[in-house]
Amino acid sequence: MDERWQEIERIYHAARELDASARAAFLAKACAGDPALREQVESLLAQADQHESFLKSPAIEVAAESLAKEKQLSDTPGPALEIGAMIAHYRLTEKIGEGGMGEVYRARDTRLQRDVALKILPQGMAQDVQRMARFEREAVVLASLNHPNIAAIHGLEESNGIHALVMELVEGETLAERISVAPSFSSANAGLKTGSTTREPKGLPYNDVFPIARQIAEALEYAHERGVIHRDLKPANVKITPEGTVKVLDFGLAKVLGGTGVSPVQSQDAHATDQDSPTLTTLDTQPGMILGTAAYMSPEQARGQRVDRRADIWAFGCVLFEMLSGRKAFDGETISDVLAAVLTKEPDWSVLPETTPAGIQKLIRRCLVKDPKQRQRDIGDARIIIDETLSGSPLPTSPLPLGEGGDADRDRVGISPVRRALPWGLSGLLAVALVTVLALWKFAAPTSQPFPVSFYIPPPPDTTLRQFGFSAGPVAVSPDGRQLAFSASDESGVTRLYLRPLASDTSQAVAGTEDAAQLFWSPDGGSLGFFANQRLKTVNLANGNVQTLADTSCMGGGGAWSPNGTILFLPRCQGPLNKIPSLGGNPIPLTTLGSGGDGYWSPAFLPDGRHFLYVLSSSSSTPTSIWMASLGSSEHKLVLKDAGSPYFTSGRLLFLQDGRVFAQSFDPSTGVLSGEATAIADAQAFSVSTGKVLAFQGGTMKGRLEWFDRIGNPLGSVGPVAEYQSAKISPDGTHILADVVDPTSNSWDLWSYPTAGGPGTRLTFGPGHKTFSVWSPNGKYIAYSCQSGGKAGICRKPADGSGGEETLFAFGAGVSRVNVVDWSTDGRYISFNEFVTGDPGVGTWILPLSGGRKPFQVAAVSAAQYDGGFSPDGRWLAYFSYEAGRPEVYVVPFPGPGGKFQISQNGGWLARWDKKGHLYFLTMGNRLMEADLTASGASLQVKALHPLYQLNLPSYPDPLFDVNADGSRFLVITSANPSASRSIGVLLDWESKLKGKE
Amino acid sequence: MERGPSAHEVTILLRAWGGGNKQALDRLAPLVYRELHQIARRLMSGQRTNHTLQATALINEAYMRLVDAREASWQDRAHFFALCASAMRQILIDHARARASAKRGGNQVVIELDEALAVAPSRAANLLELDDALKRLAEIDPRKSQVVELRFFGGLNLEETAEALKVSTKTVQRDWDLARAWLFGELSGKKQHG
Repeated sequence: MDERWQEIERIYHAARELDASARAAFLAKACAGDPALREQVESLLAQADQHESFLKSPAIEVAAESLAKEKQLSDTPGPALEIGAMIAHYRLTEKIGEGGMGEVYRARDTRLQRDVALKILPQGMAQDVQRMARFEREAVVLASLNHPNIAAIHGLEESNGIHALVMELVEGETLAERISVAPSFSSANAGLKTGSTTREPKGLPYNDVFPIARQIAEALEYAHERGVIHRDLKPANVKITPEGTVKVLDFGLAKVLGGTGVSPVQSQDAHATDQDSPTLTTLDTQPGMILGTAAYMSPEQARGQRVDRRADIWAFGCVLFEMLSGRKAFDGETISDVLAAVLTKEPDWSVLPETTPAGIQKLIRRCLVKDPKQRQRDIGDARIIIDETLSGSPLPTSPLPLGEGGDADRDRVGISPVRRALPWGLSGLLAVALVTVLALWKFAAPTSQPFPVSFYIPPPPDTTLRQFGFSAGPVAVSPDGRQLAFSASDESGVTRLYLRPLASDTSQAVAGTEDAAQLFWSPDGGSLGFFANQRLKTVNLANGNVQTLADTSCMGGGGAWSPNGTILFLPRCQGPLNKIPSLGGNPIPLTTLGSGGDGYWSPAFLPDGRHFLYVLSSSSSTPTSIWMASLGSSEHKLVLKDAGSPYFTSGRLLFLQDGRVFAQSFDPSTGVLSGEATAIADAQAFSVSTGKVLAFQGGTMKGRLEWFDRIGNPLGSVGPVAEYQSAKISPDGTHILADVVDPTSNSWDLWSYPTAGGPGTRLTFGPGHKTFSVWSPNGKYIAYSCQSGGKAGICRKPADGSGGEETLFAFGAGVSRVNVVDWSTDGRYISFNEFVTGDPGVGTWILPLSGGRKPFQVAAVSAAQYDGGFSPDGRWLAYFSYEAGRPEVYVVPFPGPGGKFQISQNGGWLARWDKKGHLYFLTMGNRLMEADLTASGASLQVKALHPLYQLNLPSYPDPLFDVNADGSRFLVITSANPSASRSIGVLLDWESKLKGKE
Repeated sequence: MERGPSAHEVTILLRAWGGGNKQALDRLAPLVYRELHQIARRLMSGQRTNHTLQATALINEAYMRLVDAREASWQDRAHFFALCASAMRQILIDHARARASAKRGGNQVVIELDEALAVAPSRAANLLELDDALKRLAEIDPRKSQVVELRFFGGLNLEETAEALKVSTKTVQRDWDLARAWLFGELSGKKQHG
């Protein structure tokens, strides 16, 4: 620094401290004899005076501003969007928002005639191929979220370079709006003077808070179960419809829309964490928005660390805090202040209303623990606490013994309405059962009336409930109603019997029960009977002893255990019921039940231990009927037609009909039903105890046609939610052929759905049922099972639905039903399964389309055979059969003759070929397997079996999948209500559903 | 993702740098530069910004990403901010330069700093000119150049700047006052005569 400059500086500062009037004299003196010096100082002084604000705004602020002006050109949608403009088939009707993730419009879906919300993606993002690809992948996952408390994503549209996310339009106000207009009551704890007009922030009315919080928690729980994290939960993202339903918006969008405008090159070296933090990434950079997001950011998000579901739990805590207090848990005037508070400060707990229940205060504290490891772990647990609060008081965590307590206890002050409402012994269960509640019950006002409570229990971690459709049998409730027994398969495909006390949140596998299915309890609840590896067995739960009682080739027949120690079971599916002492002995056939059918299934004892119910099945008529008979007597009588799964308890017969559990008054001494049947649950299988606990599996029959890749990632769905029996991908992959039940006529017809989306085309129109269709090799025709007037047939018509139906083969009266399975690639053969009246076995047959069209069989039938898929080279036929007691997949040379090659190892079913010659099938645990086969001459070798992923199939009689040509995608019929089909439903106090209806 | 030194280590480095260890700066600077660059890029490319971004918010974010706030002191924070200011200047200048050269005909663009520079509209200045002027100022009086860097590019307040430079706030105040006057003259003079 030179001396000259020091001189200038000294004089300048001295002059700055003087009034302008005094400066001239000072400068004249200080710069005497140096006019240049004086000029320089005067110049500096002039500049300082003139431009007080020079450089005062930090550079980044203004730089960003001018950059933003440029950015606006590229980030606003290219062509100006005007009201009335069309994007694909959506007409914009109103601009309803402008968020950080783009403009949002209300729009009319002109095809489906409904209003939707369109979020226009920023142009900068839409032009970034990589980001759009990533976005589209994520959008598929987000679109698969289907929950009443999550605003749905319908799809992604592109039109003239504009990309728009199509979302459910949710009417109503946001939670942020609701909180800001919440009425101001005089505060109980804010130290306000009475009559003060100061408007203190106050929370929502107490009664509103918990129903809202609960629905948010349910939405989070549902998404978390599917691995989706919201990442930007805040009151502005929660809408409340006029009906009071909460809808959480923008689920997961913070991730997929994050990093707007970052170029591909930049995104390469950007922290992965960019995607995890909504703040300052996705944001709309409007200051309010940043603050609005920052206030709900978890500390790990603020630090830019990778986040998991616990970030949502933090945000949930913030939202709950704010709903109760009207204040943000973490606040500040600037984003730095807010973030600093998030990272370092505790919320002001004193602003929570004094009336806040202790359990809720504790919950909020646990949600707002800064270290995610110490934080509330599971949003489901949060919901339990809310439920406890709603019920009035925390529920005990250990069950009351059955029968304990009396009327005096019942009326004890302080027992919660829920406890009071529940049957004895169950109140305690509730606390634990709620761990998994996806509750159907309402937030009941205090009532002394019992009311039913329903919830789902998921299978143990890493297991799948064994599907009851294939000889697994439903869950079995213990006679005292205190525990459930069920069979589930672990990841290695081993099925075991599990016990789940309702008072516990975990299930225990029972040793020695590998392959267990069709469980039934001893009347004292101390043992279970089950079927495994073609044996009837029992396990004593007290000492763990497993005893083998008898051989059986009928794994699906079910069993019953009388109070006198007699067990009923089927040694052969086609044969008579047998009785055997539960301690061991020789099975004795009960030959006096008549010969009206081919199967005597699902026995169930009546209380006298002598009479029992059973289901008579007949392949000549699909519906089954319930009969009553007695040990030691030849009497047997029809109780009810078109029904199955009989159980008697509490003076009522419970049975299954059309996918629902019904209850009807029943006199066990006369076998006569009276009164009306009342539906009490949607289910495909169930079990009931005298303790009024009903457990069920299944739920809706409705499903989706859903795509998956080879590792089980969902890739979107085709067609509507409907009841499907089968689905086939067209040879060119552009269409899906599926049979759909017409809900009005209850008949099946065939539909074709374009895989690219759009409405389906109905191909058949009665009369009768048209099901189980296949494509011709060139995709021009379809062949299907046509059943009309009691006669089965195989029909053909053009695949576009035009033209008439041609009957390829008409079956005689003996054939009750056929399922068309496949059409050979040379077009010459159609395979089908034939169900013959009087013969419970099903066979795989081939219909040649040339010559005399005389059906023939390829593989010898020693037990029921199903399927029959042609390999792409036409040389092999794959089917599965019960000849080894349980289904296994086999391949035989086509058209034969030749040896038979077993493909599956520990049970397998539903075999499908891709066009490359790989064979796919399902294990008994419904894991999708790929078989690598090599053929040499007439012999076939299994080179390798690759487990792919676990299918979550709905509770269908015939759950189906299909594979595309190159084996890269699978079309699966999945349940429209996955939690119902993957979990065990429990209905407590089902009897109260009958009140007023009998 | 490689994250470089841990938050704890960054804090130690900051402290070492504050204590006069120049090597600490060598380790810190690239880290900070990279972090800020990413945040700035993201912020500046953020859509529809019709408000001002806060430099302190940006640096706060970087600070929180890099430094363990639990163990960092107020002084550490000031040192970090000083470091950020320098990095920020570089980022903005790089950005402006890239834009200038990207334009056809090599016309200088134009991150207009009218408001910040508060010069008459007819005499728009730009960031590159400011940078040049700052370099000239650094030759004459390095500390004043630093004060401008900290306050203008880093958004630091008087106290923070004083702490970073280990001088009194009074000195910062005087340096800031004179530097602005000098720079204003440089920029407007350049426009007038150039």
